[in-house]
Amino acid sequence: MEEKDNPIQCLLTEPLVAINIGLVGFGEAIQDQQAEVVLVDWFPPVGGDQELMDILDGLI
Amino acid sequence: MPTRVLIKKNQYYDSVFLMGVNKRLSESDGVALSVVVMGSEPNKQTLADLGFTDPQLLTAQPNDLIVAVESDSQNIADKLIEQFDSFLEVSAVSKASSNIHTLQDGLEANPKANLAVITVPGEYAAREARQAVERGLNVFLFSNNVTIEDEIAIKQLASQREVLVMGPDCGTSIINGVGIGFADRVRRGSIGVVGPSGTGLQEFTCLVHNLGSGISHAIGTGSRDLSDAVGGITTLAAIQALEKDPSTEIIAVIAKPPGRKTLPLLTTAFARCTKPVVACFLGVSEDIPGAGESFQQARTIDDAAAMASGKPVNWQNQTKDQEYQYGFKSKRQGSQKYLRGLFAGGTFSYQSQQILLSHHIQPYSNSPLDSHFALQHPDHSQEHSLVDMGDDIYTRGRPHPMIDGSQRARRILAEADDPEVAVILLDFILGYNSSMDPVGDLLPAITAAQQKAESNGRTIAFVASITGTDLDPQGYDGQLQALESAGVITFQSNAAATDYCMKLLED
Repeated sequence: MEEKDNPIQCLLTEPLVAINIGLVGFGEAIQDQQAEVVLVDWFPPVGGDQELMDILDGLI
Repeated sequence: MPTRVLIKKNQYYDSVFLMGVNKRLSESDGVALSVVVMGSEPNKQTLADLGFTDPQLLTAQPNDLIVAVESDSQNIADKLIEQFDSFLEVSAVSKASSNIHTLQDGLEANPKANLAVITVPGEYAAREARQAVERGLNVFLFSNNVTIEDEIAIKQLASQREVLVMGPDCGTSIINGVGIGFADRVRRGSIGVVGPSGTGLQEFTCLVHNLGSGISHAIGTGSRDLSDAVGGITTLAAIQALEKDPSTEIIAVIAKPPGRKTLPLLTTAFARCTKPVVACFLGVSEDIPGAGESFQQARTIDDAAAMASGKPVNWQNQTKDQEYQYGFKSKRQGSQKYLRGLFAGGTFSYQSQQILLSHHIQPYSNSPLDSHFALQHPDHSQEHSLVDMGDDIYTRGRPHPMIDGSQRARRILAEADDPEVAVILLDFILGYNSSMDPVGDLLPAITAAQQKAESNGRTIAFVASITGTDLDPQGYDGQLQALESAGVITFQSNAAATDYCMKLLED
């Protein structure tokens, strides 16, 4: 039976589908190249409070 | 001087967007200093260091926008703060308005996603990258200021999940023909390349394109991947992936010298690889074990591109270089002895140092090959100096020289004042996310520097390389013509431009 490609191999052989988190321009440049991209309107979670972020991560 | 501060609660914008807003604000009449940043602790500290002491600043949170203005008069400062929304609105065209705010939201919007492109501030970057890896996504992590401990932990997790983490501090990749970050538009082909340096990958991929060959994938690894602490986790995974990739026939690795323990891991991978490998470790002058047997060793990025393409490099015909060379030598004054390289790309500072050393010339740099020859202060050149103007000292809270030429423009003018300067070497880097007119950004400074030197009876030679292709959004030919019209001798590679500087400096 043929070995299933791992996610790295799939990245190199399948069309790029990106999730852009941060600089909007980076995501738009990918869009300009006719690749699929989801633009995340990101801001620091829980107001950027590092301790709360750690607690949240623990809950998830 | 009068100052005024404005805090806009819960309005988050990315740093590049805010640099654009601040640039317009700073160009307003009467503004001595302006800062537009998010309210993170490091940003608040920077404002305090700059002398902004308004107690409101202490209340600002990371999601709050801070605007600080120092002006000739209180009236002007007040007016600019009152009108600030208009600066934001002019710039807000590209601000995404959506209800997708997290990686999880993004994955729900498109479950086929196979790559997370992460460019958030460093203090949040590791968290986002870890979440992406845990969800089985490959990661392009542009953010820097991620701790080495976090980098190792994320890359080890990525190995377990069989995903690739390109970064942190990864500037460039090209995956399946799509440029990510600072990448050029290049022809697709059979050469795959891996490397820690964004500009190194840009130069290689452009040279391969300009030689008529093409790129399957260019995989950035992040600046520390080949350190012994990280052990080349991403580089080794990328080589393995390119070996299995049906579109890749030749694999190139472009890097500074790897850590002592990491080098044998790499050469073992080269020896095991069933596809031909070309390796260029900039700054290494001796033969690496296995060179010429299991892989070909290149000394410069040009050599690597030529070996991988199977085509010789000859960029010398691009300009009337010989004619200029003789003309310049006849005009050069006795005091004019030194080369000053002012680079946007750190790899070019490194490669140019290597080329000078091969001519038995020892340059100084803020990023020196040999730490004995570190510039005493990066702002002050000594003898032959090759300055990496993309270094942290120039980019902390300020735009990178690939996006904004103002810091390099000022430095060009300062160098032109030095009667010992004979040649100024520059790089211009085209491609996605770079300035749309990098040559136009510096031309006024180049012209002013030439005039300033002429008025003092001197001629300074300007030499430049353009990293780019005919497919790049900036338009290669227009950039080249603008340089040549201004009398700048231009080459298609940093190595060729540096070699030419050596000819100009010969007696």
